[in-house]
Amino acid sequence: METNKPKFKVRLGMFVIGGTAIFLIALFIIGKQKNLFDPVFKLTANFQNVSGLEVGNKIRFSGINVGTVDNIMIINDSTVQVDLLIKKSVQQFIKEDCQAAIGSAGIIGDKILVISQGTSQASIARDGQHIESKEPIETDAIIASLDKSAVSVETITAQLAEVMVKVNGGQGTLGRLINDETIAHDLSESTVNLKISSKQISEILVDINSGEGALGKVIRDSIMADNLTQTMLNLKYSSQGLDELLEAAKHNFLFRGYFNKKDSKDENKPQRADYRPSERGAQQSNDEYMSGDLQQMASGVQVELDTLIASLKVSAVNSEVITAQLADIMMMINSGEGTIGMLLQDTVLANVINMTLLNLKSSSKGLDENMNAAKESFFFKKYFERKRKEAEQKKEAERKEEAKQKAKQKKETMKNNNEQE
Amino acid sequence: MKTKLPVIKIVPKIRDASIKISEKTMVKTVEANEFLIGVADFFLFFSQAVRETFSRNFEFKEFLRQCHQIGFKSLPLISITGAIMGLVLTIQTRPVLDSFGAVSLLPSMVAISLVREIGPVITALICAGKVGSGIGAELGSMKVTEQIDAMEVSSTNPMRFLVVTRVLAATLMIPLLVLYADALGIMGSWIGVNIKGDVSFVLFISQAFSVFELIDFLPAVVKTFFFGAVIGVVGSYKGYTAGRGTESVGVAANSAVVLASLLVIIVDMIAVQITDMLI
Repeated sequence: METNKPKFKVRLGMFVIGGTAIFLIALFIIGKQKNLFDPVFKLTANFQNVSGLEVGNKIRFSGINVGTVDNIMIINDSTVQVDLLIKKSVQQFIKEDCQAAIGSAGIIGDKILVISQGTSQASIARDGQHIESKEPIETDAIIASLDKSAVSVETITAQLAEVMVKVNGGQGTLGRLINDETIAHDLSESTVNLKISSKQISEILVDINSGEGALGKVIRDSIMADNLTQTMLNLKYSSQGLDELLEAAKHNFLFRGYFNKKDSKDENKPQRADYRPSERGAQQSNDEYMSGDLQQMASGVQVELDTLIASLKVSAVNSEVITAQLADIMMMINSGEGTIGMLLQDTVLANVINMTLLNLKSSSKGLDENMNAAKESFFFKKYFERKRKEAEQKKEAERKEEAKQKAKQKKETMKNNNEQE
Repeated sequence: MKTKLPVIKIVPKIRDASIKISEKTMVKTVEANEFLIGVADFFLFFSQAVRETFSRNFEFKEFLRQCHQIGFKSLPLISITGAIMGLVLTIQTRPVLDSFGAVSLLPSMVAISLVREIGPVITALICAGKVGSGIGAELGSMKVTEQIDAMEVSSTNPMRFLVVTRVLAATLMIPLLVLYADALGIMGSWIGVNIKGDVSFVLFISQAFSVFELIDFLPAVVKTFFFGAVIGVVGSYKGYTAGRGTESVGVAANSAVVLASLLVIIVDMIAVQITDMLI
C-alpha cells in the first residue's frame, strides 16, 4: 500500500482522530460507572424520602463499599425507587430480607446507602430483587429534639451549679459531710473497727460452718436438730397441760379468793386509762405546739440541719464506740472467753449441751405424763369433772335447740300447705 | 410569459449562490483533508520515531548532549517558576483555609496540589515553550538549510540521530524537571507559610506529607513521561516537516509550542481521568 498517497493519509487521519475520540469517550463512560468491568447485579428499594441520595453514591454492606446507586426515580407522589448496582461477588452474602437504609459518610459527608445484614435462614437475593427499606431520619428532626434536650440540660446544670456552690460553701447536710473533717475522722475509725469486727464475724462463721463449737453443732448436727424439735414438741404439749392445770387451780377453793380479787381490780383499770384532759385544754396546747413549730420553720431549716449534723456527729462517735466494743467482743468470742465464746469455741460444752437437750427431751416427756397424772389426782379432779359435765350440758342444750328448730320448720311447712290447699 | 419572468430572474441568483457554496465547500474540504493528512503525517512520524527508538545503533552521545540541553539548561527557569508557584499557591490558598480555621492543612493541601497537578502541568507547559520551540527551530533551520537531506545522503539516519535522541531526552528529562519543580515548589510553600506564620521546616514537611499517599505521587509521575514524549515528538515533527522558506523556521517553532501545549493539556485530562478510575 502506498503510504504517501493523500487518500490514504486522509483515511489514516480520520482513523486516528476517530480512535482518539472513542478512547476519550470510553474513558469518561468508564469513569462514570466505576464497576463497568466488575460483574454486577441489580437490587431495587423504595423510599418515601431519599434525603439527598444521588446517582453514583456508594453502597455499603457490613461497612464495605460493594456498589453504587445506579438510578433514582420518582414512581408516584409518595415513593422513590432507587436502583442499586452491587458486585456479583457479594451477592451470596446479601439475603432477601436485607434492609436498605440511607446514612451519611460523615457529618458533612456524602449520603451513602447502607444494606443491613439479613437473617441466615433467608435465601440469597436474586438479580432484580426488591428489598425492604428503612426511612432515613432527617437531620432537622434530630436538631429539633436536640434543641429540647439542650433546654433541659441548661436547667439541670443551673440547678447542679447552685447545689455545688452550696456544698462547697459547707451549707446543708452534704456540705457538712464533705467539708467537716471530724465526721470523716470518726467515720474512718468506725470503718476500721467495722473491718476488724467483720473479720472476726467471718472467722466465727467459718467455725460455725465447719460444725465446730455448740452453735456449729446446732446448725450442722442433724441428730441434735431432731432432739431439739422433739423437745420443742414435748414442751408444747406439756405447756398446754400446764395451762389447763393452772385454769384448774384458779377454780380450786384454795386460790379462788385471790383470782376473784384480781378480776375486780382489772375491771376498774380501764376507767383510769380513759382519763383525758378536757377538750379545750388540749386545743390550746396543740395551738401552742404548732406555733412553736412554725417559728422554728421561720427561723430556717438551718436549725434542723444543725441538729441533724450534731446528731450525725454524735452517732458517728457512738458508732465508733460501738464498733470498737463490738470488735473487742468479737475478739473475746473468738478467743473462747465468756459464755458466747465458750458456746462457739468449746466442743466439750457443745457435747454437754447436747446431753442436756437429750435429758430435756426425756424430762419434757415425763412432764407430759405428770400432767396427765395431775389431771387424775384428787386435787384437780373436781375441776376437770365439772368441765366435762359443762361440756356435756352444752352439747345437750345444742341438741335440744336443733330439735326445736326442726319442729318449728315442720309446723311452718304444714301451715303453708294448708293455706295453699 | 408573465409567469416565466421571475424564474429567469431567479435562476442566475441560484447559480451564483450554488457556485459560492461549492467553492466554499471545496475550500473547506481541502482544509479538512489537509488537517487529516497532517494528523496522519504526525501519526506516521510518531510511529517511525518509536520504531527507530528500538532499532540498533542508538546515538548515545547525541542523546546525552540533548539531555544536557533539555534537562540541565532548563533548570534555572524551572527552579524559579517552581518556587514561585509554591509560594503563590500558598499565599492564595491561605485566606480560604483561614476562613475555615484550617490553616494547619495548608502545607498538605499545597503539597498535594503541587505534586498531583500544578507541578507537572506548569513544568510541562514551560518546557513546551522552551524545549519544544528549541527543537522545532533547530530542526526547522536544519531542514531549511538542507542539512537533513545531507544527512540522508551521507547514510546517517536523520530520524535516529536527530528525532529519537531528542524525543527520548525530553521523555526522560521532563519527569526529573517536574520532581525538581515539586521539591522547589514545596520549599516556596514553606516560605509562603512563614510570611504570615512561623512554622519550622521539619514541622512543615511532616505536615505536608502527613496525608500523602503513593496514589497521589505515582500517577502524577507517570503522566510526566507522556508530557515529555509529547513535547519531544511535536517539536521534532514541526521542525522536521518545516517548509523550504526561511520564515518556516519561525512557523515551525511557533506551531510546535502551540501544539505541544495543547497536547499536554489533553494528555493531562486523560491521565487525570485514568487516575480517578484507579482510586
